[in-house]
Amino acid sequence: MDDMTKMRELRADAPTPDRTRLVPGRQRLLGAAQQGSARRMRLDWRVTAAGGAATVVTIAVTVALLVGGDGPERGVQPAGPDLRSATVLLEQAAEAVSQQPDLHPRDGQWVYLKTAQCRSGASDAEPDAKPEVSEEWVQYDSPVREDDKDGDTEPSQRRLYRLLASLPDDPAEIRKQAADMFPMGKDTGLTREQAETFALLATLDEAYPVHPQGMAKLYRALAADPGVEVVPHLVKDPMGHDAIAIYPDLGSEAVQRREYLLDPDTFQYRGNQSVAVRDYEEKYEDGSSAGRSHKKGEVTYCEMKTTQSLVDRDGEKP
Amino acid sequence: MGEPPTDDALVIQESLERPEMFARLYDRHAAEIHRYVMRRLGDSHADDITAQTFLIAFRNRARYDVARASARPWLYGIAGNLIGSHRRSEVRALRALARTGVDPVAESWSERADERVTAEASQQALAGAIAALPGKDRHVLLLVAWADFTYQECADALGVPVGTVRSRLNRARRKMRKALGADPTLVSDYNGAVTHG
Repeated sequence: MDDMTKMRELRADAPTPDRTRLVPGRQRLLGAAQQGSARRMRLDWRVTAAGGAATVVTIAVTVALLVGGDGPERGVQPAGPDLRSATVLLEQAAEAVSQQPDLHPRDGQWVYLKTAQCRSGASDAEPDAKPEVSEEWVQYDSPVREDDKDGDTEPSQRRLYRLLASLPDDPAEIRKQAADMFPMGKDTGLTREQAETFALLATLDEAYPVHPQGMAKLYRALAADPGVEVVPHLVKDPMGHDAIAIYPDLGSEAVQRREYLLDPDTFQYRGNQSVAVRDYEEKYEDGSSAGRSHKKGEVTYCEMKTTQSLVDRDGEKP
Repeated sequence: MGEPPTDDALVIQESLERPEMFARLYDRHAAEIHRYVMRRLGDSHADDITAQTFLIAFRNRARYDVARASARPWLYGIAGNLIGSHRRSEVRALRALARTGVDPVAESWSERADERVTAEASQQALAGAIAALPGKDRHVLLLVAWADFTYQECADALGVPVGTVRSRLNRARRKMRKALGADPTLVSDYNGAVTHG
């Protein structure tokens, strides 16, 4: 028998998925289309801002997720986070992270990543479902992510570690280098400053393992960025823990904002969430309803990195 | 041939302005990408790699070459890269099939243990030969055999010249024939591949 016929017979009974099985993937894609990208979005300001441009009513100044008053109860840290200004807070964070140990990653290692994702309306059957927990192993020196010719610009963890390790002190230069690592497509509608701020935040989101002094420089560059704000109180993250929330200011037309959450004790990055800053209904650009509405304070998306750890082998747990 | 208003390139172009349009591409191609991933890596990777394929495609849609009406090669190329990052797991399963006749990948979609089918000897031999191929040759072989790609579509998917596809496929097929006990020199151009599409 012909070899190609034999080849075709191999695993020929692989099933075609039914529609329901493909629904979560479609939702992930729609989530990316509607609010940026599900995970590693380079365009989220544009899409987020565009989504809210149709109906501008009032500017929301608070988020419903605030946790009034239980900051002081934490009490144990000698100097808690100073949430009065993003600059002060991020300078404080820079100092703290610079003291953390360097994990000295080696080629051939893997990053164990446990995430919890939430998506508002991901399932009609379970609108208030808990965050979906998943585990993955990411190759530290992934050749796929270091292949510059495959059309995907997602950097490997090694490239991000090296970027942090080699950052200069000058915030302007840091911004430029981050923007080179996370290039935005053309016609994003963002100013150069916004694109650079986004690249800084993308680096914060993606980099693990972290080079401590490099991360401190990244925080200082964020501290120097007038486009970055801090929520003036601790928020509850989707896992129910207190967190510091910093966010890029998207202007008064945005209906939601992407909050980058830091641990209030260690200032380490924990994940991000998108929060509706006022009541709004999702609409397509022709004005027709997309069939979903959101209340102010609602978390419309989150991805928390609940565990990150360096391991020696694919599939190994820390 | 796709009709102009419905071809993938137009959908991708429109999605630059209306990102949610990209879901149409998903509706057209996700099922076959899913099955292809399933066939290469098994049930546990299919959902995630399919979803990731479309997310990566979505992020990179501004760079799509709109002269290419069908997005299949592009999507398979992205999926192939993601599959490639599980290379060791793929090879491990193929070797297990070669050694024991039981295919861990096929088992992943069989619902009951009593459905277990032991592969015939020729399939075991093929699995061993596929496991031994360089990753690039394996991609070409499986795109042609399992996704019915033409040489040109393979070239588009992998970003290599058609001649490279031809030589990789010929090299891979020689090894398949050798594994099957046939005369490895009898490989001609694969007509199924050149006439398809």
